[in-house]
Amino acid sequence: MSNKIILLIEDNPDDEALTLRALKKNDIQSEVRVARDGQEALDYFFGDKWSTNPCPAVVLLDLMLPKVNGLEILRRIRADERTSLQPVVILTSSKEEQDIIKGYQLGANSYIRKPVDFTQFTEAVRQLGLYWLVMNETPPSSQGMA
Amino acid sequence: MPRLSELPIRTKLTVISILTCVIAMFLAVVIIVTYDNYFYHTQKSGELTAQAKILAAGMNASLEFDDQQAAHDYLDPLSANPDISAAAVYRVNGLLFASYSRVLTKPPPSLAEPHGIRLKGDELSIFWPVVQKQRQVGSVYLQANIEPLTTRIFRYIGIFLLAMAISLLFTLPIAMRLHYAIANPVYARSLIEASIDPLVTINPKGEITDVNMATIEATGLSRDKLIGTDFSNYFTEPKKAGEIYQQVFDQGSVTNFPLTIRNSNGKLIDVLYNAAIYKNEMGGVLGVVAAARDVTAQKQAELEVNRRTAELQVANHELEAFSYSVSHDLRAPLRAIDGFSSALLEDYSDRLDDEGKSYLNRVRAATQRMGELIDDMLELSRIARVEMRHETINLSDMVTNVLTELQKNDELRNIDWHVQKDLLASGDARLLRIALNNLLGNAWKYTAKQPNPRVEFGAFTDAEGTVTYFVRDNGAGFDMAYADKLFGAFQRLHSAAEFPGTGVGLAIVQRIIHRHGGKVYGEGIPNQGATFYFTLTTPTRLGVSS
Repeated sequence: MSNKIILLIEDNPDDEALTLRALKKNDIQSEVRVARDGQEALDYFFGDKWSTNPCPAVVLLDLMLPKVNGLEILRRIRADERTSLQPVVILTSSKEEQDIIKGYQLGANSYIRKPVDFTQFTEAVRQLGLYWLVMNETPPSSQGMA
Repeated sequence: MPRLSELPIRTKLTVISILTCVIAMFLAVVIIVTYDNYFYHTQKSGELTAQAKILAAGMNASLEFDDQQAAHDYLDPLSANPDISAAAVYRVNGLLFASYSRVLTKPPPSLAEPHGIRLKGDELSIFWPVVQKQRQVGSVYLQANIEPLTTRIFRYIGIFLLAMAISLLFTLPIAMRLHYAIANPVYARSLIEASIDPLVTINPKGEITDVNMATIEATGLSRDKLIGTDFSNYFTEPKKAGEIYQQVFDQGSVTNFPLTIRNSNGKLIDVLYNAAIYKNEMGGVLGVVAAARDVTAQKQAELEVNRRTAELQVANHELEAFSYSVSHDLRAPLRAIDGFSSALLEDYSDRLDDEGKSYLNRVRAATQRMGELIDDMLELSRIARVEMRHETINLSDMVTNVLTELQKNDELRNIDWHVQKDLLASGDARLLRIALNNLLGNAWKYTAKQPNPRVEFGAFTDAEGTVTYFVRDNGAGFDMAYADKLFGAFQRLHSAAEFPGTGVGLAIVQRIIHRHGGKVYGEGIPNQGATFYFTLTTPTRLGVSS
């Protein structure tokens, strides 16, 4: 599982630190790339150096992001045939109905709300890592990127 | 020729007055002729008798002296009296003594006849004795032509016809003028004028026959200009206006037909037309009465409502945006506080004494509570905003469902619950489920310290037919002194240590019930239990409106 990559799209450094801590606490060794705003995230997939960027096993996507918001990123990922099958998990603060519906409509693979309680958060990250990095088989076409 | 009943009232009145006049005149002629016929003879006889007496008196001497010349002298002046056509004097033996007769008239009889007056055809004649010293010495004879009755009747009729022609010549124009005023019946006119709505009458050709002041104002045209013109001319869509007659003549009436009147000053007036045909006594269609209701104000009110709705929508959007950002942004710092407190506890526990650890745990507990409060607050505002969908719901089934779920999540509790069967209601299923979740969840929670917990759901109907539902428990209850605080957001009657919670549940319940047009209230006795009652707009009433 160490050869798999997680792309964390998160602008809040606290959340970034806590997510990384939760991953570490759960012994998830995978490399984590972090995009700190929407544009950075898009550049990862569609920028000049896109072909050198490894294809993530899972994208952890926050919704409230500077420049380009999370739902727009998801739409662009799904619209491009290179990334259309990319597993994307929305990991965000809100459980607003409109976000959940819109997220699934745009083809999110999962929608997880970050709990305030860090213990619960750690547990969520553990299950998430276990599922997406260990149990889940990544789609073949997404390998092409690396 | 049209039947009298189909004629306009004005013509009817004229015909009636002429008829009355003719009948009266005819009766007058009959009466006068009868009278005249009777008295004419009496008068003529009297006159002739008097004349005969005078003649007889004058003949005394002529007969006594047998002077025929004197008799002729006496008879000749009778020619001055046009009525006398012949006259004669007879000797006492009855032989003619002297006579006079007009040309072309029958000469007097050659022998005297018995005395007396007699009528023969158009001829009135008299024989009268000539008496001298109480001794008859001869007779006189007078003959008069009486004008025939028919001639006299014709003359009278002629006179009356002339009189009538002259009187009609003068009275008819006056009568017609008066009839015009009467033929536009005062009552109907005032009815038409009393209407503040533009009102017109239209004949079957579509021409306006009458208008009221409101129509004059609405069109900006005078009465004279409107009457006789095509009704459909005065609308923005004449063709559509023309459809009114079609509908009226087909169906007898038209209700709330929307049209726009174009005033001569260019102003447009939105109206709803109500029209019906009117008939004469025989059922023939005379025309259409059409009344327009000015709905400009109503339309403006509609626009105002739309404007306010739009404003509300904007406000609602802002509220949504606000709660959206609360939902996203307010929880992130809490997560950081809790996360890093937890990191401190884990990574630096060796450098923290127990008191320090307990403080950090308090920080974590407080942040988590804050997280719950934010979630509940968002829920409360969401409940107020969500769109409602009404349907018929079996509340009993829903309650059983919620209780089963509560039981599943809390298997250690053994609660005795009773649900009255098949209580139906009309409302939004999702919202009502949230309300019941909160009410039953409370009952579940507050009976935690009761050795024989019991929860009950039921309903009763009052005299007015309003159904009141209730959730009753025998749990912690509450002091009625604080009943008014029950439904306030974040208001709690128990400490969080005693019973967990944020105090939003009943606020949510109240908001849901209010959105259903119902009422909710609670009754409680400390340590004996609480009952929460709620009503929803009655299903029957909703059934009619939906």
